[in-house]
Amino acid sequence: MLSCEHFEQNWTTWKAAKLAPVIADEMLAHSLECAHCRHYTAETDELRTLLEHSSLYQPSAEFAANLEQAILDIRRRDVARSMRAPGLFPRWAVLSAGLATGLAIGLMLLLPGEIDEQPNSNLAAVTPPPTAFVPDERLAEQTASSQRADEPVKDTLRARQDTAVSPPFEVNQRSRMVSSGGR
Amino acid sequence: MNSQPLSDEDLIRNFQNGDAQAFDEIVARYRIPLYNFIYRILGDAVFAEDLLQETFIRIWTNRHSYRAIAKFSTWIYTIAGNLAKSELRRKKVHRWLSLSIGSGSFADDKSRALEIADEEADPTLDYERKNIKQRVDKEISRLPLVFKEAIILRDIQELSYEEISIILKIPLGTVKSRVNRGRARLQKRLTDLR
Repeated sequence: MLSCEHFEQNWTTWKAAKLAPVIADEMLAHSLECAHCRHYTAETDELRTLLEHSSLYQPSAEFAANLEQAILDIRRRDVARSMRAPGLFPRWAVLSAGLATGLAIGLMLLLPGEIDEQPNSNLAAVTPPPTAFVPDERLAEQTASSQRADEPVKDTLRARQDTAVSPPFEVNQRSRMVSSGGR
Repeated sequence: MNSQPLSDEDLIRNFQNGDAQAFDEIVARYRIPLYNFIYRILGDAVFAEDLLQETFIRIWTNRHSYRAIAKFSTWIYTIAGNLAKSELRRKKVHRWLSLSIGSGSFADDKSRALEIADEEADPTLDYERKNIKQRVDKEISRLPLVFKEAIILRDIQELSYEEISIILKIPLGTVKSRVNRGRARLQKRLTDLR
């Protein structure tokens, strides 16, 4: 059984004969039985007749010309904008890409170029340079090959080996002792 | 050869494909219904014409954002309705700021739109009919916005409940309820005309 609320909600569609036949039959049956909905039908019919008599307004005669002009202005603006930035990408994207490329080139130039050539360069920072010992070794070899028991030379050799591990103050002290004859 | 008129959806598709004539046809079809819709919501002929132009400009500029899944009429009414409601809010704030509450009503002669002349007008009935029309228009304009837009779209523009539900972004049941309540209010106010 159709309720009065449903009857009112379906009323316009029913009047336009757009309801499904089964529901349309229910609407008809309800309108015959229900005094309230008969009254609603009469009142709404009257109102719709009044609304049909409501005014129909139209825009001014200049409307079409004004619209055409407005659209023409937009098209001109679009054309001008496309002339100013001819290209596939917007101007901000081109500027950003240029800036990023410049930055990348700058970084490549500033960074030391040996990084790739010396893969173990980190070790160089912690190990002392081997060249500091070369003269000492050469000196030791020379000393051994000459087989001379030359005391000052041995002392110098010892002193030099010490300097490789001792602070400069001690080296100076020892070298002063050596130079003064070991006393 | 008798060719069938193109549907709104066909027209907008043609317009999307670059046919400018299709846009002219859309303007011709929707110029008067949209103007009546906007004018009845705003009650100001000058603003209504500006917003009508803005609606068509938006259709022109956003033509590619229309998808065939929606009915064209709901799309164009949604744009016009949103513009009209934004303008109404702006006007309310402006009126509140200028402390001129009560001015700019629908029946104001300066803001009144041009009426389409009745071709079969009978001079003897003309005066009475004009009075009835003005009264009906005034009572519609006095309805709260929620009922007014529902009544205009349903009983004047004759859109379906489903279309109104999409345009106003409210459930179908709410549309039906608003139409019924709007009608009830109008009936009450127009009792003396019946």
